[in-house]
Amino acid sequence: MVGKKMIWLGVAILFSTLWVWGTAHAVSEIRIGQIGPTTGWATMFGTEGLNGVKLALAERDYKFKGIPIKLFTEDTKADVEVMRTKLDSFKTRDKVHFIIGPSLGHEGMAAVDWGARNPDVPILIGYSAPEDITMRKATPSVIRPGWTGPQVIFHFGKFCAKDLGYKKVIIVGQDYSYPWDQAAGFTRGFLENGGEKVERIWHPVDAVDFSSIMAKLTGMKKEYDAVLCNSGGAQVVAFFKQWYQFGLDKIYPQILGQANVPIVPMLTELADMALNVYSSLHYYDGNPSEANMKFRESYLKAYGKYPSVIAVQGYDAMRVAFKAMEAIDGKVDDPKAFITAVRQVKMRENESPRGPFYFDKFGNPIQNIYIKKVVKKDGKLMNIAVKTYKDVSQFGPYAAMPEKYMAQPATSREYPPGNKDDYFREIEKYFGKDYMAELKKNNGWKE
Amino acid sequence: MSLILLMSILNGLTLAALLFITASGLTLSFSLMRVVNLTHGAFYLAGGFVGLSVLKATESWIIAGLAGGLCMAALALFEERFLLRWARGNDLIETLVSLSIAIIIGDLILVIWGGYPKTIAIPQALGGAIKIPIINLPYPLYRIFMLGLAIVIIGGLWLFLKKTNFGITIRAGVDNFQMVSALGINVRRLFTSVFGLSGFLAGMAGVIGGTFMMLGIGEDWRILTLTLIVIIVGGMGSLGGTIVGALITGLIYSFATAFIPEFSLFVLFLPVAIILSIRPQGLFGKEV
Repeated sequence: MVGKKMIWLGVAILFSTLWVWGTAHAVSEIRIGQIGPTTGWATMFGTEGLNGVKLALAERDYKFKGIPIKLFTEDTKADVEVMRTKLDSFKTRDKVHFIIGPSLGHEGMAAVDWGARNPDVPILIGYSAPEDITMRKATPSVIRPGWTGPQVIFHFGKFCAKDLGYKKVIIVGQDYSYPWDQAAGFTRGFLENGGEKVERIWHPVDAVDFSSIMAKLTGMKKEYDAVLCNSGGAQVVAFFKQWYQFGLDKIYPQILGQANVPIVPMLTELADMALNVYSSLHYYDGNPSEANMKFRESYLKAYGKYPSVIAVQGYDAMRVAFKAMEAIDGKVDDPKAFITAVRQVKMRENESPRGPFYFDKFGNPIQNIYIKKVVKKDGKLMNIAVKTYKDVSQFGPYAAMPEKYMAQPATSREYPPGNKDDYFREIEKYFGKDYMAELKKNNGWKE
Repeated sequence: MSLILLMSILNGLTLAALLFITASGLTLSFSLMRVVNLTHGAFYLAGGFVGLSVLKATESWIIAGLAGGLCMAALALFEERFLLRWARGNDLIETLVSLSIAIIIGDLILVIWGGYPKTIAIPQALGGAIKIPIINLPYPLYRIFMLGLAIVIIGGLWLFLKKTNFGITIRAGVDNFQMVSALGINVRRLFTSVFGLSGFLAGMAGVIGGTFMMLGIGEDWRILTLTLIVIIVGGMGSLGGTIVGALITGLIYSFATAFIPEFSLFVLFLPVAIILSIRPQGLFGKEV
């Protein structure tokens, strides 16, 4: 009898030691999934993000404290349905510990839905910028070490009204949600700081010829001070080209750009046409900081060209993950602990090419926003910062009242209104009389 | 007349010029072979990119335009001789073959020239604006040049089709294909060369359009759509119809972008829907 009991006891001891041994040690291999569009029209958004992740991994030799890291990569083909399948196979086939990506707006929105249904697989969103990923649809397991569209452009509106002294601005852009967000953020900063009117012209996403818009802009000069180009990619090239062909550079001061108009790859193509363009973003390529210099040089060495903000996003996401792993000693097999650790990560001045940042309670960074200007240095075009706004949240000047901000209708081609009177009526409706009084007292936002 | 009206007319005319140059090749190959060549947009884009590289190497815009055209002509000859010929007479397969080649070319462009949008610099002699007499309006010289080039191509194609032996054979082939082959004319060679000519026009249009606007991934399908609108409105297989179709499309596009930019695509497709329901063969097309 005693012998039988002893055997049971022995088995119990053996199992419990195995159990303890199993959890006390970190995982034997860290498995990361990276996803983004690496073929098709959006290739540049996917590959740059992936390159950034790889660069951060190569810096540590694909190891974390001796534990090997395995990177799984998948292509979304810029198609949400494809992406969902790939996310599922990351979870069930590759059994990844967390996912980095995707890059595009609609992909991000679908990824956050997937994340809500799969809370045990943390996702670090890449370049996707829709507000609702970390606002109305925010879910604990989805964290975005990136940006939202309006976040980076709120203060550009202010800068145009206060520093450049414009009163009326025309925004010409592609007719879909990202440019709507850009126009909305700009309108808020512009009108609340002394601007009078924002006129928005929307053209189809696939517009080929801008000549008629140029003709229209020529006629509008009587009333308006400046034009903001609110398109992306190939449309920007065509817009700038026809801007100069029709001689609008002689009528208007210089083009203003939405956040990613003068990013690095565009500068090569636009060449001198891009000179003196103002825009704003949470990263600028001419940043003389040590972290940015090192990042740019090692990226150039690895991939043969200078990185843009898209690559910064992938690089930063991976570095945030490393910091979180340090906090939990590499135990990425506990998703809850990993998520908590990621949300607590604080990147210091020299830890990211973009400067310091940390996360708000919705999982979006509070970070510096730079007002950029394109200049020529040693024969090369680059963005320099003419002004820095520190610690800007995704709610911009409304950081103290996120619920009120989220209660507003979603941005659209006409919302918020571009006319001063209508705009302030809306603002009062959602943010109250006190906010209006404060705006009046400070003559705009506080510094 | 107000400034914007005048500008919109000029813009419409010059856009129509580019659309005509692109669509003329497609309409030519369609009228003879009755195959809707979906590779046409890819020829346009690839021709533009080839032109871009050649321009960098030779710094001559004219050579770039010819090179873009000739490379695409070679590609078109290859496509016709080795792929389409096998499927001759089977519309569905022919269209699918042309579609697959379009996708392959699109991906090759991505591999060779990368995913970033590019543009061809306007040649120095054609840069800047000129004042148009009478109305005293400054207008980009390059767009005027494009209009002139389109007129030259219209004239050239007209002379070619009406006056040369080869052109007459093509027209005869369009009208009565069996009769022509019965007369002992090598119809296969005829098909291949017309297809090559169509590729040449598309490739050259790519260089012209890339200089005028931009080259980017997805531009092949954008241009193909516009080209199809032009030949559907004008009537498939009719040179005169293509001119009218290009003018209608160009003018609608420019007026719509000037006055109701949000709806410009809708306004563009409206005449297509109307014409297809009232006159399915297009304004100038012959009933099949």
